[in-house]
Formats: sequence, C-alpha cells, structure tokens
Amino acid sequence: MTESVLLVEDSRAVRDFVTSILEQHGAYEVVEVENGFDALRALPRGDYAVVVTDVNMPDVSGIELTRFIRQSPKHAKVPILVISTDAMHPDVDRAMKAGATAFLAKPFTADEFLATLAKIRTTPQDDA
Amino acid sequence: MSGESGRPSSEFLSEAQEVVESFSRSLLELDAQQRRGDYDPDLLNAAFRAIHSLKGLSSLFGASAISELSHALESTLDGLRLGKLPLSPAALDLLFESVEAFQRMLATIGHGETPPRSTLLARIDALASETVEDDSSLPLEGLDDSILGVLTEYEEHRLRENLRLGRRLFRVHASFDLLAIDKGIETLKSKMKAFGEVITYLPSADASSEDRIDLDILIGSDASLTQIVEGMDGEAGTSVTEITLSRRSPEPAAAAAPARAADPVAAKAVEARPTAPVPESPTEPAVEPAPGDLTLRSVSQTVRVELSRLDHLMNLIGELGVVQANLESTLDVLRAQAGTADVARELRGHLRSMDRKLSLLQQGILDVRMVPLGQVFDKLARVVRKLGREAEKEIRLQISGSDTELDKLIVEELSDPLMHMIRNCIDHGIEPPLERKNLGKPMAGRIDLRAFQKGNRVVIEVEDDGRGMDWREIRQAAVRKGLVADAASRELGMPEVVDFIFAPGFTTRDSATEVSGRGVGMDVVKTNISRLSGMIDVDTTLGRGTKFSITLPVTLAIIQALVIQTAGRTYCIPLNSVLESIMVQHREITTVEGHEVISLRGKTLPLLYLDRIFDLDHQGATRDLDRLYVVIVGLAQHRIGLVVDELLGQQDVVIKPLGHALRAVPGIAGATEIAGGRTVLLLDVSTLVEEVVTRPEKTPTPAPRKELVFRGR
Repeated sequence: MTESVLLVEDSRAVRDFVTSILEQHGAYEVVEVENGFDALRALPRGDYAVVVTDVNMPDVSGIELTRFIRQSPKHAKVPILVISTDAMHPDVDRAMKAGATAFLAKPFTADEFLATLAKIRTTPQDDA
Repeated sequence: MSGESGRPSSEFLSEAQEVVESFSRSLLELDAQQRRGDYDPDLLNAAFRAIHSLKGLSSLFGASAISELSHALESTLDGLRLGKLPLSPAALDLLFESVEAFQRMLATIGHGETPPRSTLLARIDALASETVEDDSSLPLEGLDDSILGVLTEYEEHRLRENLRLGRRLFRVHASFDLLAIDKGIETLKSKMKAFGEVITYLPSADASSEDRIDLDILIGSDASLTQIVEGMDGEAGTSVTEITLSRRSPEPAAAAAPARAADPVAAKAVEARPTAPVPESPTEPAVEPAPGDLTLRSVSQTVRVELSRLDHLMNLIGELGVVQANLESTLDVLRAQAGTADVARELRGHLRSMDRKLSLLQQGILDVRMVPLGQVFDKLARVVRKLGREAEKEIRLQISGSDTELDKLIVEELSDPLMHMIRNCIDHGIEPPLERKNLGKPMAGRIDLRAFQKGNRVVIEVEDDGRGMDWREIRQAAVRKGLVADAASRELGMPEVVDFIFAPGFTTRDSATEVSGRGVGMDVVKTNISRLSGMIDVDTTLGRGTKFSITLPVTLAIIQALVIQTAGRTYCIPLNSVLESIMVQHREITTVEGHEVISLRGKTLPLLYLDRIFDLDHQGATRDLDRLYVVIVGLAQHRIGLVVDELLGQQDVVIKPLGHALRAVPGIAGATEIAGGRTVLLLDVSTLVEEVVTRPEKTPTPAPRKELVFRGR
C-alpha cells in the first residue's frame, strides 16, 4: 500500500528530483506544494505519513509550518524531515526545536534521502 | 546527484535562469530605491532567498561553479539582510557583477563549466568578512515564546529592527477559508503594507473548522491601534492586538505606549467589525473537492512547454484554416445549386461559429507564446548601469511598457540589437557630464526605453538626450566610403542621409571605443531587425538627441499575408512588411538612371516589377496601364514598391518550408496554402528589397511630384 508524502519546497527542480526519488522507490505517493500557505491548505485534506519541507520559504517558513503541524491534532505525530542547504544555519536549529524529526542537508543522493526517510519512518523515537 | 543525472537537466537550467532573473530584478529595484533614499528590506530578503535557492538547486544538480559562487554570495547577502553589513554602492556593484557571472555560467553550462573568477570570489569573501556582529540586540522579553520560538533569524532581525525604529507591534488575528487563502492573504497584505511591515505569518492549529485556518500576523507600524483596526476596514474575522513588551526600545516614541509588566501581551484588543456576519460554515465554493481526494497533487499553476510543440499546434491551426476555407468554397457550390438552400443556410451558420472558435483558438495559442519585454529590459538596465560607470557618465534610464508582450522568439532575438543601440547611446550619444553642464543640459544623461502596442505591431523606442547626429558629417562619410557619389549626395534629404548609418561597416568615428563594440554597427542591428520582419527608423536632432524606433510584428509563426496576383500567378506578401497599397497610372512612373520610380509624399520610391523578377509571361494579356497596383513594402530603413496586377485580399497563413527545388530561388520565403487548397509562394521581402538597394547606379533623384489617383486599404 502506498503512503502519502507531503513535499513542501519552492524550487520546482528540487521538487521534481525528490518526487522522482519517491516515485521510483514505489511505496510513496507525493503531494507537492511550493510554499507554506499551500502546505497549510494541503494538510487537512490529506493523511500524510511523512512531511518533507524546506526551511527557507517566504511568509510561512518551515519553522512555522513545523510548529503548526505539531499543534494540529491530525498530524501532530507525523515525522517531519527538514531539507536545507545550510546545515549550520540557525534556522535549521530552530526548526528542530519547533519539532522537526530529522534534518538532511542539500545536496543529497537518492540513497541518502531514502535512508533518512526509512529511519524516521520506522523508529521515530530514536530520532526524536 | 550529478552522478545520477549526468549533466544538469533543462529543468535545472530554466529554473536557475528564472532565479537569477528574479535576483537581478530585486537588485535593480534595490538600486533604484537606494538612490531615492530608503529601500524596502523585503527586497534584500528576496535577493537572499533567490541565491539561497540557487545554491540548493545547483548543488543538487552538480553545477559546481554556480554552487560555489552562490555559496559565497549567500553569506554576504545574509549579512546584508540581517543588517550586519551596510548596503554600499560597492556591495551593490559586486552583486550586479555576480548576476553577469551567473549568466555566463548558465550560458556555458554543459560545455565545460567555467569556475567563477577567483578575483570575484575573493572580493565577495572580503566583503562578507566585514560583517559585524550586532551586539546591540534589544531584549525581547515579554514577547510570547510561541511567537519568538518560531521566528526565522531574519524575521527576528526585522522584529528587532522595527522596535529599534520605535515602531509598535501588532498582532492581527485572522481566519481564512482554506481554499481561498491566497486571495485572503493578498488582500490583507496589501492593506497592512500601508501601515508598516508584515514581520511574519504564524499559522495556528486551533481553527474553528477543518476548512478554515487561523493566522496570527505580526506587524510593525507607526500607526495607532485604532488606525490599524480602521485600516483593516472590517476585514471579516480579524482582531487586532497591540503587543507591549516589558522593556521597549529607548526611543521616545516608545514612552508614549505605557508598558504593562504584569500583562505583557494583549494590552488592549479591539475586534474589527465584520461588514457582514461571518457565517459559521462559510459558503462552499463551487468546485470544492471531496476531502481526501488528490486534487492538490499539482498546486503549481504553470506548465512549461517547448516552443516546438506550440509550433506544431500552430501549424495544425493553420491547416484547419485551410480546411475551413475549403468548406466555404463547398458552401458556394451548394448555394449555386437548386433545392439546397436550407442545407446551405445551416452549413453557413456552422461555418461562421467554427470561424469564431478557430480565431479564438489561434489567439489562445499565440497568447501562450507571449512573454513580456521586461525580460529584455531588465537585462538592458544592468547594461546601462555597468556601461555608464565604465564611461564615467551618469545615465538615467526611464523604462516604460515592460509588460508589453511579444512572441518569445522575437524577444530572444531582440536582446542583442537593443544592447548595441544602448551601447551607442552611452558611447556616442550622451556627452560627458562636464560637456553637458556647459551646454546647459542636466549632468545626468537620459535614455528612454519605451515599448507599446500599435495595432498588431509592437513599437520599441530607444531615445537619448545626447548630442544627436550631424547629417552633413554622415553625408561626407558616405561619400568617402563610396556609398554614394558626391554630386548625387547633395540631392539627398536629411532622412535619406541618416539612413546611411545602417549601411554595412559605416561609422563616423574612426576608432570605436571599447564600449561601442568594435566593428559591429547599426548594419548588424538592421540585419537582426529585418530577420524579425521588423522595421527600424531613426530620428535625430543635432545637439538634442536621437530616437530609434523599431516596429515589430507581435508574432512570427502565423502571419497575415496580402494575396496578390501578377501575370496570372498568385503570391502572398507578409502583411508585416506591407506599409500600404496604392493604385497608380503608368504615366506617374518616371525613370531615373534606368530604374523606374514614383514619388510618394515627396519621397522617391523605387519600383520592382514582380513579373520581371520572376520572369513571368503575361501570355498575351496586356497590362491595364491606368490601373497598376503598387504594394509598398518596408524592411529596416528601406521602402520599395512592388508592382502587381491585382490585390486579392488578406489572409492568415502558416509558413511551410520549401522543397529543395525552390529553396535556391531568391525572393521566395516559403510556401503556404490558401483557400481553395492551392499552394502559393510567399515572397521574401528582404531579398526583394536587397535586389533594389544593391542594383547598379542606384542613386535615386527626386522625381517630379504627381497626384496619386487612389490610395487603397
């Protein structure tokens, strides 16, 4: 059975890249959105197994989105994978504090991405 | 990633290009606002985000050179947006230089990447190293941790900056219908922008229903609570709260708002009055998807299509047009027969509605190909900035009509000629500041770049207020270069003389400076414009400036053609090149140096007989000498008259490539089908004009003025 992944990322090419990884893997169905507002809209209408989000987005950032997800009853426990270019940026830290499950720095390979995803999917308590 | 995808994909390239363009737009706007005084901090943040995206994008796709440069720029821009670095002219220059560097890299990608120049990187690093840590950060005690905890570093900086400026802090609570959130936010944003800065949007999960979402919007403003509430103008479901920090900035403005240590947040709250009662369950939009279904899969609103696919659709539409014309002829046959009147009437009705739909379809496809000229204008603005600096001339560039749209192909092709014209303006046109001052002109030179639609053409004007061109000097140069005989040149009027600047290799200065681009001149510009079926005109006043006007067709794929007949054969002439058609009598034609000409509004117009050019036999039919049609065509600065027997009307035609046999025939651009299923040839106006311009002893002298009998169409 396929599971839904919500992918929040403003770069079209990065979205295409992540989606192709997930689709080739086969077990995931991807809902792509390009900003925080669209993510807010997508959340109540889906049942997501994982949320993958960029940090640096206008208006509603990945940090704000993470906090929102943690507060909403429906997806409070969903694993959130934050992807960003700059591992050292304070905003990544803030996203983790707001409740993100794991962080993956760009650039990453398909294998790295899938491995991280598998890890946060199966043993979320180890990563929390 | 690079290992998997091999080389950067076209998706990467197109997105990277867009990101660099948006970066450049932010910089141009910043530059302009900076000159006027103060700039919108949002612009710096937008520039940072563009480079941040580019860095992520390029690293993921293995474009290491771009990744390296964006990495270096990112920290500089981060420092700039966080106020740790001042936005100096030098910093802006460096950013503009980076735009050029990115564009070079994008252009050469896949052909062996060129790493960013180490000097550029070193200068960027040097700038970034000047970053000063902001140690004067104000304490934000009293601010709800639910807010502070989720701000990005930049948002926190803006929050502090607003407090430092003595602004008040407001929290607007608003509820939005999830499906219409974009519109709701947009409205709210524009209302709030008038009052101050929107620092962030904080979504909160405790919305009343699944279809709605609550947002807390943090705003810094000089306005009072009442002003903000009034400014919200009864926006449904909003409430405004002023946030008072326990310790505010030491600015005097802060003293006006009494701090309340006991109740740090929510000093007073005023509910905005909704104009209409908010319904518990909002009215359902017509297209609401069932919960859980996957209509959200593609929220992105655009599709990228290759031009060749659109060309294909365009061809099909053209062919449909031919089918339709054939149906029309069938209808004529039907009407001529007895007993089919009812069927004919019905068929005519259907055909008419098909005609309407077909033209809508055609227009739709054409619209898809349209892009705004702003894409090129932005590039030119950067060039002006750079060249002005190099030439040590201050240039004010005024751009209007950026949103004028043209076919994508035409916009691409325009960039080089326009660039060259701008270079000429700066290099030759605009005087050095001191010279301008002595002339009583403003020190800063002015270049106007305008675009506007004129009928189904687009006009682009490049005008400067520089020294203009001395037409006597041009005439002398033309004689020196053997373009015209000395005696004959004296007969020429100013417009004809000025046209010599478009002649190959023509330049009035002996050495082109670095800026003007050696060896290439207006002849190249002319060739480029002609290739786009465009025309170029020049208007100059010595001491006052020069204006170039380029007139272009809106699109190249489907063209309107004038169908003509000569010696019993039918041809099409692209209507883009047709200026007018007139009827003349044979006696109005005079001969100058062995070539036939007529005089049109005081200008000499050389004639070209199509039947002679194509060696057509009139098969005994004699020409009606009192009724000759002359189709006046223009290309670049040239105008000639084509003599034909009949004008059959206008039609939209799709150009089809020629077979081998005809490809070598000069004067023929392609073939096309017209009504009746006949294939006819489309004339190549540029070679026909060339034919006239280059014929021996071409020097025209004014012919005696004659009355024109008829001016048609």
